[in-house]
Amino acid sequence: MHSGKIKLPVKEIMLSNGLKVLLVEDRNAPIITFQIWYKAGSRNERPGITGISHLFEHMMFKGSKNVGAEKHSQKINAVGGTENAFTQWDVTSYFEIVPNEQLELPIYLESERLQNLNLIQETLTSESEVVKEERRLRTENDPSGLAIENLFALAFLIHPYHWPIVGWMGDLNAITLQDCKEYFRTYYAPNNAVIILVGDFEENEALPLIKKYFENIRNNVTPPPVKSEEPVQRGIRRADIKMIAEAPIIFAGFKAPKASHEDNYALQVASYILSTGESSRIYKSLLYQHQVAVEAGGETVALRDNGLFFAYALANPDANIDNVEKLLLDEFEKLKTETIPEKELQKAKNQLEADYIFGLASIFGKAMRLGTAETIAGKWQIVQETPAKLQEVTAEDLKRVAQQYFNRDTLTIIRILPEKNHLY
Amino acid sequence: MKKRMCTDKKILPDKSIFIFSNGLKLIVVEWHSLPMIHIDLMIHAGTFSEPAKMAGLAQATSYLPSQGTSTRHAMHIAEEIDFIGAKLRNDSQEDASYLSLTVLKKHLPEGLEIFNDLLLNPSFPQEELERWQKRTIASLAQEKADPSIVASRKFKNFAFGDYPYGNIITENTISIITQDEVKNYFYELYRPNNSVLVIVGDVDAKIIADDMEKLLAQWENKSVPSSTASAPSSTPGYAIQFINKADSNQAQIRFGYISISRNSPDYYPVVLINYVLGGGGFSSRLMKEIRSVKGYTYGINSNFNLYKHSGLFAISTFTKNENVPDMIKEIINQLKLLKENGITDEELKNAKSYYKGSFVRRFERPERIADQILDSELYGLGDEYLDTFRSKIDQVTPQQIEKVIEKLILTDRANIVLVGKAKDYAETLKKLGKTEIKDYSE
Repeated sequence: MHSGKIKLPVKEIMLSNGLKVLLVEDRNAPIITFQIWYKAGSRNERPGITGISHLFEHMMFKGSKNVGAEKHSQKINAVGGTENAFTQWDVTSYFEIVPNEQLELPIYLESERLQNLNLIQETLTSESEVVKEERRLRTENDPSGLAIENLFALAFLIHPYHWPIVGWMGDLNAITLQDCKEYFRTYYAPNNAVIILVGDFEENEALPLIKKYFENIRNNVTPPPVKSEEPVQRGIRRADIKMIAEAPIIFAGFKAPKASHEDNYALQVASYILSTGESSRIYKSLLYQHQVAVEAGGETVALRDNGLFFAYALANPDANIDNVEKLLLDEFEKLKTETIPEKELQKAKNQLEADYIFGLASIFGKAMRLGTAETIAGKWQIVQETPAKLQEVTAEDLKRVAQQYFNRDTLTIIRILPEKNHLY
Repeated sequence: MKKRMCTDKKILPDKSIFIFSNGLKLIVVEWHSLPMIHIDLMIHAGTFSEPAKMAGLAQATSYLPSQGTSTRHAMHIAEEIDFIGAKLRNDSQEDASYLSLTVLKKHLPEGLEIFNDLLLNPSFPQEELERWQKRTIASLAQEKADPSIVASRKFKNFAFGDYPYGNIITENTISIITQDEVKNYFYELYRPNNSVLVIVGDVDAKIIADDMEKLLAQWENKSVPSSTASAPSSTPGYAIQFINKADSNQAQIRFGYISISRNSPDYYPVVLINYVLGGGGFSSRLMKEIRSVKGYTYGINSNFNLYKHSGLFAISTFTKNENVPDMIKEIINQLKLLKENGITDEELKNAKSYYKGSFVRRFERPERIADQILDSELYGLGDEYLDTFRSKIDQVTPQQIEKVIEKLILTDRANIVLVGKAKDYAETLKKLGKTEIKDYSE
C-alpha cells in the first residue's frame, strides 16, 4: 500500500470567535488526546523578558478561579490520564491523553485556565526558581544544550530566534507579574489558538462540548505581528566553547527555509539520506568507517520565519575536532556535487513511507503532526500532502536544494572543546 | 506445535500462544489498524548474567548479530534493513535482552529473512566487536558530560555493590570482552527454550506461526544454567557517596535502598504507595512539597525498580548545590510522614483510578503491546496478568497498604549519591552517616 493513500480523516471547524478546531476520529484504542496550541513562543518575546513564554507555560499549571494549583494535572491523573505542555520558538502547546469516557474533562480544564487563570506573585517567584533549575539542568550542565543555545544565538543575530526558549538567566530574574499578565492577555486568545482532538470519540458528542466551553470566550487583543527579519548571512560564523568535558561536540547549522517552504520536502529527504539508519551517509562515514563519533547526523529544523539545517556530531574523546568537522561537512558537499544514485533515493523514500505509517499508530503523534503543520507551517493540510510530495522528490531536486542551502557562507559552527583542568 | 487460545477481555486483542517443538514460545496478537508488524524476541539473558569484570558483555552480545552473519557483512545488513524502511533494534536490560524488528506488511518476508539470519547465523566479526568497543568507550566519555546519567549509574552500583545488578560499565570492562566470550554468552543463553517471541501486527496468527516455526526450526534448544546469586538486603544506617564535580552549579541526587523483586505479592500495594509518594507526577507528594511548594527543583520522583531477583527503591532529583542539605532533610521527612501516617483514603482512591484508567494507554501501538506481554513473560506473571491487572489494583485494601508501608518504607537507612560541588554541602551532611568522597573524573 502506498502511504499516500492512508489519509487522516481530518474535520476542520471554525468557531465564531476565530478558534480553529481539528477533529480526527481514530478507533484504535479507547483513548483521546485533546490539545490546544497557542501561536506564541520565544519568537514573540523581546530582550529583557526572554523566556517568558516558557515561564508562562509553567504558570498555567498554578491554578485558576475554579481549579486549584496543580489540580489540573491531578484531575487528569485521577482518571488515568497524562498531561503536559511544551514551549517552542513559535508555539506553546498543552495536551492531555485520557480514556475516551473522560472526553469532557480536558476540554473543561483547558477552557477554565484560559478564562480564569490566577496570576499571583508567590507562584511566579517559586516557578522562576523551578525554571532556573530547568535551565541549569538542560543548558548550563549539558554540553549539547549549551551548544544549541550558542548556535541559535550566533546564527540569528537580529531575529528573536537569537535567544533561547528557556530565556537568559538574567531575564528569568527580571520578569514581573505585570509582564505575565500582559503576555497572557495578548497571546492566549481563541483567535490565536488551535484545538486538536484525536482518538476514539464521536464528533456529534465532542463538538458541542468544545463549543460549550470555548465559543463564548472573547478575544481581547490581536497579537502584534513579528516583523523582525534576519539579514542574509554573508560568511561562515564560528565559536569554540571550552567546558569541562571529556570529548568534543560540534553543532553546525546552515540557514534553511521557513516551515511553509516547498523545499522542505527535498530537505527532509536529504536528512534521511544523511542520517536515518546505519547505512546513511553520515553514520557510515563518521561512526562506521572513520570511527570518530558516537552519534552524528543532519536534520532540518523548520520554523515559522526561518530554518536551520543541523549537522552535528558527538565526537570520540581522542578525535581531532577539525577532522570530525571536515568529515561531517564533506557529506553535505557531496550532495551538492554528485547526483544521488536512484537506489539510495528510493531507500530514503521507503524509510519515509514506513516512518509515516509507524507514526500513525499513535494518536499523540497524529495530533503533533497536525499541530505543527497548522501553527508553524501555516496549514494542517500539509500533513496529508507530505507523503506524496516526499515520493515526488527527484535526484535533481536534491542537488538543487543542496547547492542552494548547504552553502558555507550561511553556515554557523559551534564546537564544545573539552577542558580537563578544573578552572573553578 | 501445541496451541491454545485464550480470549482476553476487550482491552487486549485476542492473543494466540504457540509452543514450538524446540521450546520457543510464540505469542501472536492480531492488530489490523495499520499495515505494520512488530516482532520482538526476548532472551532471558541480561546484565545480571554477565561477570562484573566484563560488564557490557550482554549488550555486546545483543548488538553483534546485527553486525554480521555467515553471508552478510554489517553494512550489507544495514542497507537491506534501511531499504525496506524497517527498524531493527537490540537492547540489553538487567534480566533480559531483546532483538526486535518493526516492518511494513509488504516487506515482512524480507524482514523475516534477515531477522532469522541474524539469530541463526551470527558471525560475531572481530572487527565489529572492536568497533563496538571503541564506540562504547567513547560513549562513556560523552555521557560523562551528563551528571544525571553518571549519578544514576553510580547509585545503582553503590546500592547493589557486588551483586550483579550493580555491574557498572567502564573502559576496563569493555576492553577485556573477547569474541569468544561473546560467542559463549550467545550460544549458552540465546536458546529457544530460554526465549519468548511476540508478534503484534497486521498478520494472521495461524499463518505467521507456521512461517515462524519453519524459519526457526534449526534453532536448537539446550539446557540453560540458572542464576544462583542469593538476593542482597539493605542494612540500617545512611551511607553517602559524594562525587565531587567542582564546576557544577547543580547537584544530582539519588537516594534509596534495596527492596523487593518484581514478582513479590506486595507488588500491587507498592505500585499504589509509590504513586502517592513520588510516582504520580504532580499528583505525588514529593512533587507537591519539593517542587510546587518549595521550588527546590524542576523534577523529583520515586520509583521501585523491581527486577527478577531483587529491586531498588530510588528517589531521583536535582537542585542547586546550596539546597542539597535541605533537600535531603525534606526527602527523609516525607518518608517519615508516610511511614508514620500512611496515606489517606482519597490518595488511595486517586492512585487506584490512575492505574485503572491509564492501563489502556499501554496497548495503543504494536511495540507497546509487545512490551506488556514480554514483561509479563519475563517475570512469570502468568497468562492472566494483563486481564486481571485492574481488578488486582482495585482489590488492594488500606490494611495491605499499611502493612506494606511498614515493611518497605524505611526511614532508618539509605544509600545516597550526590554528584555536584561537594564543598557546598559535604560538611553539613557528614553527620548523617558513613561518607566517602570521590572525584568526578574517577
